[in-house]
Amino acid sequence: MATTLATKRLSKELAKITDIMPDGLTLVSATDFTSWTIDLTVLDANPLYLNQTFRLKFLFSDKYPMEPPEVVFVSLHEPPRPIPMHPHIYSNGIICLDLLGQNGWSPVQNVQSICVSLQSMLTGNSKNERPEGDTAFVATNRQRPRDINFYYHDDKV
Amino acid sequence: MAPSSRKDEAMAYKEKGNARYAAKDYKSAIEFYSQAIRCDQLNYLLYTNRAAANLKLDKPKYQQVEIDCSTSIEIEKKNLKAHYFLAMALVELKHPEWQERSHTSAKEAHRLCVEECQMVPMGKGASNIQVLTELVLKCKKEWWEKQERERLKKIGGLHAELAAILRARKDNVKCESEASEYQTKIDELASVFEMAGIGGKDARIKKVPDWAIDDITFSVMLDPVMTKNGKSYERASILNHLKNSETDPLTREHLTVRDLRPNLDLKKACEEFLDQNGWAADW
Repeated sequence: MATTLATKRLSKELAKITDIMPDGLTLVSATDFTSWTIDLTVLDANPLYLNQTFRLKFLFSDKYPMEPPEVVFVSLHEPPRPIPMHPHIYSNGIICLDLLGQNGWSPVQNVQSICVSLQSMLTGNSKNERPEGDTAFVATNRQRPRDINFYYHDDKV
Repeated sequence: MAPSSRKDEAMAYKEKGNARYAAKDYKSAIEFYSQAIRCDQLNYLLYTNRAAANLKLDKPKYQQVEIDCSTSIEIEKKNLKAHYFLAMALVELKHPEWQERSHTSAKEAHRLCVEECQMVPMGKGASNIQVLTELVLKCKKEWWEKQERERLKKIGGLHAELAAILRARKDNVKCESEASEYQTKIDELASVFEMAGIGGKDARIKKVPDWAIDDITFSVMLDPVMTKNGKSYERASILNHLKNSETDPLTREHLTVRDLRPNLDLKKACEEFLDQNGWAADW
């Protein structure tokens, strides 16, 4: 396989996170440079996420890191991996975070920094709710997360 | 025939060659370029065109590329393509003595490309600089590896010679305690050479300092340029990013190519680091 910018950079990221991963993050699988899964727990005692582990799925295009990866939460029965309750996370796992959009992304972001941002997004949340229009969005959305133009209506959440 | 019409004839063959090249018929392209060269031996572009076609063959003719590029450079020194193709061919030819040559050519191609980028900020140069940066790093690594092999061979020879002297003395001593003293010296000698990076695995710690790393590619920087807030990136990386979005990667402030400044001291520091740690050029 030709070593593109994407695979080169991902292999370096992988070497680093295999070595040390920040607290609350576990690399589940990274068999190639197109898709990785990482388990995430919230570090403080936020009652919304107590004793829960969430699973993130990263999809990388060959334009990474010039373009953001596609990052979603995935649900699983065994081991139990629910989709975290959050006003910016749809029940199908799609995350509304400007950092992951074409306009908010920067190539200095990386897998680890995305995970840490998501961790703090959950830590800071106190609302046990889904985004407005969740049912309709989940029922009708056929777009890929990165193509959706979210309206970042409330950056405080 | 008058010289000017010979030149015209060469241009006609060149056009035919270019058409065959565009149609991916590289064998015919090479023939047309060769005919063009026969008409006009002083047009350096004809040689680089033929080199490009030779590189595209199923079995690239690197030897021929090397000859053509060298001729092209002799005619015109300021010759990005010839230096670029030459470096590529030299890497592939794997000649035991050519690592320094390919490194020099790759660096020259990169330098010319940077010049081009400065004249036309978002022109063709900006899309080539990534490839050239990677090529320079690759050549740097191969050159370093060659020097390292020579160093280890030399140092290994020295180790063997010194160990042999100590062993000979040990064999000549009368009493047991003196012999064990020499054995201790032989062991110490071995551990000293091991620390110097020979004797099995590379004993030195392989770590790249953060200041040398480009935060976009995570590679060691070759040509760092600084943004308005003082943060430096590899030139190729930041140009690539600015094509997508004219923002500072860290602060998201507006940032254009004209705001970038070369960071000469950091460049020197990275160069020095790579001279000592060539393995890091392409890890």
